[in-house]
Amino acid sequence: MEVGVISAYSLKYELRTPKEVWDMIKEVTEGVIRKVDKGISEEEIDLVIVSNFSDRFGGLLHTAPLVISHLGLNSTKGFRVENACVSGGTALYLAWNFLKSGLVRNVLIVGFEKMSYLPSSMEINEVLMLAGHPDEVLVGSPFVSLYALIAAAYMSKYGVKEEDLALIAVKNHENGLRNPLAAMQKKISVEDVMKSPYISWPLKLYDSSLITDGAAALILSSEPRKYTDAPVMIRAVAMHHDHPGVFQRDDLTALRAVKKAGEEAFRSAGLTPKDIDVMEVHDAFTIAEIIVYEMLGLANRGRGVDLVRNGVTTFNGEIPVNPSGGLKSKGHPIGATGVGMVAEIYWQLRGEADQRQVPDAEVGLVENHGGTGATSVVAIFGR
Amino acid sequence: MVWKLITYTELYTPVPPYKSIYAIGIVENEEGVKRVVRIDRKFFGRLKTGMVGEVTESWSVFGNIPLFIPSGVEAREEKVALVTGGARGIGAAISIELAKSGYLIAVADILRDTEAENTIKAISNAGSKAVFVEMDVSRYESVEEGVKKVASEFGRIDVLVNNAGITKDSYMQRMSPDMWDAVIRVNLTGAYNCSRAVTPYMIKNGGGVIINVSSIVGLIGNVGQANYAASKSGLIGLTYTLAKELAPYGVRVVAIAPGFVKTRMALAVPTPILRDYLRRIPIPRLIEPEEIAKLVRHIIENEALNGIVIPIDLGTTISSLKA
Ligand SMILES: NC(=O)c1ccc[n+]([C@@H]2O[C@H](COP(=O)([O-])OP(=O)(O)OC[C@H]3O[C@@H](n4cnc5c(N)ncnc54)[C@H](O)[C@@H]3O)[C@@H](O)[C@H]2O)c1
Repeated sequence: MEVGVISAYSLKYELRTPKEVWDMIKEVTEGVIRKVDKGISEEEIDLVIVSNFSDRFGGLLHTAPLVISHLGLNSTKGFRVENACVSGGTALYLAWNFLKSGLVRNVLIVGFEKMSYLPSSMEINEVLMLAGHPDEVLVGSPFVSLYALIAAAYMSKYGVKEEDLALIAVKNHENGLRNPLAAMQKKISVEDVMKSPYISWPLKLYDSSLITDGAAALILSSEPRKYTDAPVMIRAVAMHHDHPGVFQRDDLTALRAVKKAGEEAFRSAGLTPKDIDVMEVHDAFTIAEIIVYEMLGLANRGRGVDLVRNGVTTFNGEIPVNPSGGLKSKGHPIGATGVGMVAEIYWQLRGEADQRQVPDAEVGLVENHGGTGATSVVAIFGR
Repeated sequence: MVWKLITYTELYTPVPPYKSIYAIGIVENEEGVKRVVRIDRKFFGRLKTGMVGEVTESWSVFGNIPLFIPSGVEAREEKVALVTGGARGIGAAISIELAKSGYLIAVADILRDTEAENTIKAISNAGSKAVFVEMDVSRYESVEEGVKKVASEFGRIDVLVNNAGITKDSYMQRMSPDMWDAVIRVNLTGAYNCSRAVTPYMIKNGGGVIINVSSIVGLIGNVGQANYAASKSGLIGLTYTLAKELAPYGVRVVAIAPGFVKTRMALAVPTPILRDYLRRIPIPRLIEPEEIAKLVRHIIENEALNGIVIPIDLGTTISSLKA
């Protein structure tokens, strides 16, 4: 059965929004319905999946019935999913499976997070930290420190330098300048990254994605052409896991879940990395994007940095990665992140990405992962 | 059991519930078992992949935290104290006291005179080393430059004593704006300038102590000292705030509030006023600068002291006119 994305909508991500969470949810819900080319009525939505990491980031629980009631309380069903930073990818995975099974015809996905709901980044990091292994939580390792452990191991194994990691931040900020939805539209240089303070050595402030408020929505359909002449078809969605604790892994510098999900997605789509025209990947920290390149087969182990250094993954390169600005510049409102990544690929493949349009993009990939990679969802889309 | 450090990070972003900074590592034993461990911040700057050590459990309200203790690494090198207004008086006494307990001393003062030379000599006689930094605490550039000099000379800064202070006494109605500004700038802005400049160094080496020399006058006021009293009260607010802001980074901030201490500052007070003051306090004498210095050393050593003002005043705060 064919499954396609028939609409996408996103708020501009913000570092600190004045909007209330419920207003954010309503705005993207109404927006995504309005944006369907040939229109869709509320009662045609069979399922609502809400993606939200924590009620500490917005103060709301049980949000699916809120959306359903806002849609007019038809026979729509719904629930929330939480899978750390891949809550959005998980919503996609579920929606796709529900649609393929024939249980439903149209699914609305709403992702949101208002991280500024908590007063300080300290408290925000504490909530995020809970997505690690209990031993990591006990020791008191916020996410940046866990990625720092990975980065330190990677750097010493492959002789990569902090300046190399900085290239990812510079690229994604450069891309973000072209995206009006990006939370931080600011050009930065390698020196800016190097001068930014360490938050967990060897990672610095500018190696890290943003604490962000945002919401995004998608509509997926098993009868996509009924609603649009230009649907973006889902070619594959794969989910895989790794041990949640970095210390539990045989190779500290690999992201097994990403590798497995990538392999499965390419296999079931019948494609190879060379076929991809544009990608949105989970650059929670600069080191993550580099390892993701390697896990997805774009580069050999230890050589991920070459792709950005040689311009392969920059905006004008062969495979632009994170033309949206990524988590680094566009932002990382957890529950909305994966949803927003799919929205970006939807616009790219429909030729609607304006200034950041990758020319002739026909096949796109999304890689969204949670924790330090305990769960990864890789999805491939085509026209 | 021997554990080997296979990767580590120094965390500079404190998270609740611990609200402190430390290193985190992954260690592995001979059987290939790996675990995530915490490493005390006193090892900042000295960790290396491949180091071996042992893992102990440290009890906390949140659970038993595995702590990695690298073997053969000394917990700390020599420590460094920066004392402003350290040339004479209370600052000199503090410098000498800390030198006796092994601190390298940066004597920061506005000019280097014979008293400064004597203090430096006394520090080396006590078996330690001193550098003199010419610094006007009221000017940020001067402070920044001086602090850089200390860091390049000694490599670290563990203790800052904001001791530099002046008086320009007069009844408020006769106090010129210049008199007001001058005192605030040295006594209060000076402490902000120095605290701001040293904090990054303290965080980098895993913590430190800032001691603000306030005064009993900052607690109870004093006729003829509106500027001075305001500056010394201001130091108390600064102490409370920095104690909250910097605690997660292992930096403690404490204020002391001395009564009259036998230095040129107190001796400049007209004798009749001093005599009258002594009649009113339970122990009628002046405090010795060395007594202040001992308190400062105790504050540095006692890691439970933070965000408080400690009067050292022979009972001044409990006395009243009628007593
Ligand atoms: N002596 C007392 O009775 C008493 C009581 C309570 C508090 N205090 C406080 O103790 C501290 C030390 O006082 P003291 O009695 O030793 O006085 P002091 O005058 O003997 O010493 C003060 C030192 O500060 C230095 N100084 C002044 N302005 C400076 C500037 N802009 N930059 C750098 N250094 C500067 C001076 O050169 C001098 O060496 C002061 O803050 C004072 O307010 C003194």
